[in-house]
Amino acid sequence: MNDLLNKLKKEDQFLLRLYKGIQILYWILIPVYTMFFVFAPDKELTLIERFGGGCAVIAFIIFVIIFRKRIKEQKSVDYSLPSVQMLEHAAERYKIWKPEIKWALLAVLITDVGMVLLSYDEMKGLSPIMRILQIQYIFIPMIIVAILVGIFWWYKKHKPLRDHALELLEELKS
Amino acid sequence: MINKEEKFEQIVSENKERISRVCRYYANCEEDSKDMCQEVLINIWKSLDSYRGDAAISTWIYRIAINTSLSMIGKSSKQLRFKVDLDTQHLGNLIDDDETGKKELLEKQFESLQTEINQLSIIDKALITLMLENLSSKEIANIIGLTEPNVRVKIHRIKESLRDSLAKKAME
Repeated sequence: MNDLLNKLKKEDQFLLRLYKGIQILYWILIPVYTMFFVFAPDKELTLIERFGGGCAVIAFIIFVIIFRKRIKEQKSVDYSLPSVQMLEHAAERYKIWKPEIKWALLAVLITDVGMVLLSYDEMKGLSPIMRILQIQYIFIPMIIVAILVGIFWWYKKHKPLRDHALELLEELKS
Repeated sequence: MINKEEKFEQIVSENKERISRVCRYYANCEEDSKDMCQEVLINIWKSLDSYRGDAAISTWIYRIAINTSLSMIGKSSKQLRFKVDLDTQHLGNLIDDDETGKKELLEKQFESLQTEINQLSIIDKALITLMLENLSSKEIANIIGLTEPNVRVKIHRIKESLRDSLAKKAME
């Protein structure tokens, strides 16, 4: 029993530390990014670049909020709910399309805009459309790879759990 | 003011028998039973902060034990086996009370019954677990999250299915 209690307390402390770590990161990085990329007194930092920095900060805030929500969601898994309710929560938790994904996609879009604005003045020899496309050549494949990895991860790890929860729910409700 | 650790120890010591009994149903051997108990204790710890005392502590423990067994099946490909001790007091709950003859028959054909139970789905196994714990349909409904009539229908179906299977085996 003592070994188990120590393990449980360690797990709780680990989650708490992780949660606090993210909170601290959140409170440090956001103002730092804002200071260096948006309100820096550096005269070489153009207005376009400052807007780009602002986009990066906004995207960062959205990602941090999504991450915090996921940790809270993971912490709130409650095994003492009636089985039907617990299974419904599990099926919801392991869904591929969640409401926060549209926020994540918005953050990706804002990051893209930010990257274009930050590197816009550095590609002076190119037309505006080519400057935008130059970033997309790198950014779009990166995003596609990230989405594919995410789908693969979901398919291997979460889909079987969701399918199992739905199967049990169907049987319970039949 | 009682802290989380003390509350956990108190709940576990008061419900030790109940937890290990449920875990024994789902385990083939002592080791599997211990694994399952460990998992149930972990989930009791995780859910302790959300316990407000709205439900009876026994209902709360049963919910965690049953939900753990449902989750364990989802996480591993292995099918949990259902093992009932020969001296289980409530074995008679699997058939109607007035059918004394069948009760005796079931006790004699214990191995067959256990084999048949192991063929059942995990949901039916969960219902059998709660029946063997001598819980009322209302309590089972409260644990599983179904309506009382629905639970009664399901239990009736399980009993029918077990009875048919055993009768077929007896005729062979």
